[in-house]
Amino acid sequence: MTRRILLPLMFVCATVVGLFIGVNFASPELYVPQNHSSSQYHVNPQYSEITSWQSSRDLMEIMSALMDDTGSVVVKIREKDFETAEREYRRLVGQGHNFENIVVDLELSETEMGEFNRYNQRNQELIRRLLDDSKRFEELKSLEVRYRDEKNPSALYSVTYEGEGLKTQIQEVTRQYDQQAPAFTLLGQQFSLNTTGYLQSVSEVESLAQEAGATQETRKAEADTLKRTSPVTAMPASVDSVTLEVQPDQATFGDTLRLTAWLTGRFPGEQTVDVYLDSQRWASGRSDATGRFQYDLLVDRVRAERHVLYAAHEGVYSPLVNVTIVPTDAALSLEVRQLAERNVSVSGTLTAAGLPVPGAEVNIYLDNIRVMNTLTGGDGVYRAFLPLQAGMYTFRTASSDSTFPLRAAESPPLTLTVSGRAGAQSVITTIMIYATFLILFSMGAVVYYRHQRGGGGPFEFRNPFAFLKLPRRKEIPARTPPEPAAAAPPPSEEASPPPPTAEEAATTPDRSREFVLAQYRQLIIGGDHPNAVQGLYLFLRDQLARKYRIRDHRSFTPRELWRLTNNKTCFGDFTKFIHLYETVRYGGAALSPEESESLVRWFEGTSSAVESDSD
Amino acid sequence: MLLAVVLAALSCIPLYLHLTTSTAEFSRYNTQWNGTSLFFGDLEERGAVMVTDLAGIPSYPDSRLLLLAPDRAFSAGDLGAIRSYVTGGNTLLLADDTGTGNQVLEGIGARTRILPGNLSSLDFYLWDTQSGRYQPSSVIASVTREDLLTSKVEVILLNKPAAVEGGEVLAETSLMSWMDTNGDRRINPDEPLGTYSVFARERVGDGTLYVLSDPSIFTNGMVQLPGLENNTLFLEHVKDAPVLLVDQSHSRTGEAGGLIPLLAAARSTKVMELLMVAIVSILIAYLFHRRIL
Repeated sequence: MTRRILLPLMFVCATVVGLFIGVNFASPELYVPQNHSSSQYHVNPQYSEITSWQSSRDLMEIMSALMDDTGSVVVKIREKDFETAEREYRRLVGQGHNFENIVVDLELSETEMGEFNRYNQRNQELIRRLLDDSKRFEELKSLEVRYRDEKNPSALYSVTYEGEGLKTQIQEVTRQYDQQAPAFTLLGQQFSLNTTGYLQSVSEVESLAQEAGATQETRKAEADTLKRTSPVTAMPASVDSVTLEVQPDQATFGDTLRLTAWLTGRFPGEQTVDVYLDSQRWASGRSDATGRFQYDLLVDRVRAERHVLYAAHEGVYSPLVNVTIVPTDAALSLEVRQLAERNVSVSGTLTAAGLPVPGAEVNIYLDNIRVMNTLTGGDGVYRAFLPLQAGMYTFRTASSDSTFPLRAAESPPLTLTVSGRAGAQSVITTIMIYATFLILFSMGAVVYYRHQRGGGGPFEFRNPFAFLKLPRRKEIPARTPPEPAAAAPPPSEEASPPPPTAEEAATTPDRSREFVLAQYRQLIIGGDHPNAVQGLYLFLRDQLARKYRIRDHRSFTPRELWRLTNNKTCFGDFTKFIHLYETVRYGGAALSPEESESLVRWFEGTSSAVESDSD
Repeated sequence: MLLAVVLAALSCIPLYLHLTTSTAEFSRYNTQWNGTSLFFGDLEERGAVMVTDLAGIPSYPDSRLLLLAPDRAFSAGDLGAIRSYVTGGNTLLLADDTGTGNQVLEGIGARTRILPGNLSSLDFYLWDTQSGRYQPSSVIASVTREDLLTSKVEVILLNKPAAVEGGEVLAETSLMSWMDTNGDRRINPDEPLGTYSVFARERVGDGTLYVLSDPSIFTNGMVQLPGLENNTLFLEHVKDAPVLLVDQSHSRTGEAGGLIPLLAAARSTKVMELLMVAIVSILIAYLFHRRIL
């Protein structure tokens, strides 16, 4: 009764549970946090890391500080307090880095914050130049006083010329600073930032440029006056004057500027001539015997703006020459390819006017987020490596290095699907694991099947773990040495020799019937009737199997084997043999001498019948 | 045999759990992160009334009705009942981010509206560990006005909220927030930055309407999140009412499946509960009698 209730109950339970599992079987989805990281209505907070980051407050604070500090640096420059200005500038740069880090971390490069960052970077660059130029311009003032006191018009002219270059630079910086002021101010106002400090800096920079212009005019006038009033001996002995010609007066990236200087005086030949660009020595060489100096300069890393050039030889200066460098278009190529282990190579070339641009900064964008910047090599080629997770990415590169007279260049976007090789490996590994399991399972099934059926055939079972078996304690009893023909016994399912001598004798096909009978009689004398009769049976079993091609005969019981001989000539004797065999072997009965002889008779009868059977 | 019985009983446990829990979003029977079982467990302990028919709510004077995550249309009768309820001097708190609640707002004559969308902000509190990127939809909104529900609450942490338009702003996002229309979790040129209201109040008749643009703050995931003292305090204020009514007729919080309605009904009356205990006792007694156990 109980069984009648419980078994159906369990069956019903198992079926119902199975049905519920089966519903999900078609689309199995084990619980992992990724599966439940978000839904239409919310993200799973337990799957994310909690970070209380009120970025807007940080960003606003930094943006506000950047606008204010820009103003204070300029004010300090105007006040000629360069030490404080330098300190304030370093602080400004530090804030700028913090801001840029947040912009990068929060992927804001292409937003108003990114724009603010770019304006700020440009501002800082201009302020750096303004600080350096103003500092040098101020140093020239003390030199000017010294040379005037020394009544050295030559040195005073050098100061004047350098001052002219610096003035031009300050005015250029002012122009650029003014140029981006409206947009930067508007951006600050969008974020409700106080732009007063920044707007003040704009007017301060303008005043600074005006001051530099006025100072320079005074300086030039004083140098001219000193030149007129000073004795002639103050002039250099070998060269009286230097002139400079630059062709063309407007150039772009890749153009060649031909600088030609003439030295005139008593010994103008083979003198050293220096050519200055914006007060920085740009080229140097020796004049020929006639005092002519010529130099071809390739325009590469020069800002796109108006520049001042002059040539000089030992305190003799040429008149100032203006050269305008205009920006040109640049081309940026991009090649993306996946290397091993999810490493992606990003490379390309930056060219302008058909020439490579060396040493230019190139920014690499991944899905519109700037992830890296690198420099072009001497051949204009840039190259970077990005470790990426598997997935599809859009790559883009851009270059807007303002130290070159180039317009901003951007590569066409490229899309690359990064394959997860590790994933493929795991699939292969999984397949191999399953295949190995399947093979092992199949082998096990075959082995089990053979074992159950008693071996034989092409896959006769051999115990693969036989070597692990300990040797039996019972030693094999001594027996008659085998005949030479029986030297090589067939493979047996047991690695160790079987204990009963009769069995071994019987299962060895080459052993003669007489030998088996001799063994039988020996065992009968010893009182071991079961093993004695088994020896005879095993002999007949093997003989029958060989004769009638019975496969897996070892797995047959005596009765099953007997049934197989039903229509054979040996059937009669074998029937009697089997009957008595079972009585002794399984019934435990002892053979009487008569029964023993009868058994031998039936054994011989069966064996002879099998031998003589033509089937 | 005993083993067989034990196995049969054990096999029923997952079946029971499967049938008596829900995975529906916001469901009070959902014990996972996106369910509201914790919040509702607290409400039940406080004796909150689960409303299955809105027609009856006007009969609860000086009460507060919570309408969380509505997901189905309201009939004219329902809207009339809510209007009578609110204008009669009661309080309605509507938390919705899909815009379904706008039908209620319109129906009761309020000017406040929910603006569905993927409101995002640079003021966030979750960082996606897998992608290594921030979750801009985990918005931190600042409380801008003192109110009964925002007393001593400085910020409200939201989870994929929408925005609220109109009413008196009680909490809003920072200036650096945007509607992430394309869902790329970034600020795009066509997604301008700005401040968005997320919690507003409006007087409707003699009553008060509160509109919160995010019902997710009631979910288990948010309630269990450590370090959200402000949210905890805010939820305390929400639950702190003399009579608290919680709509179950139009809210996702009332969604159930499997045997939940039956079990809920069984547990809802003492007679049914006693009947179930009696049946189980008889079954066990029979098994002992038959020497199965």
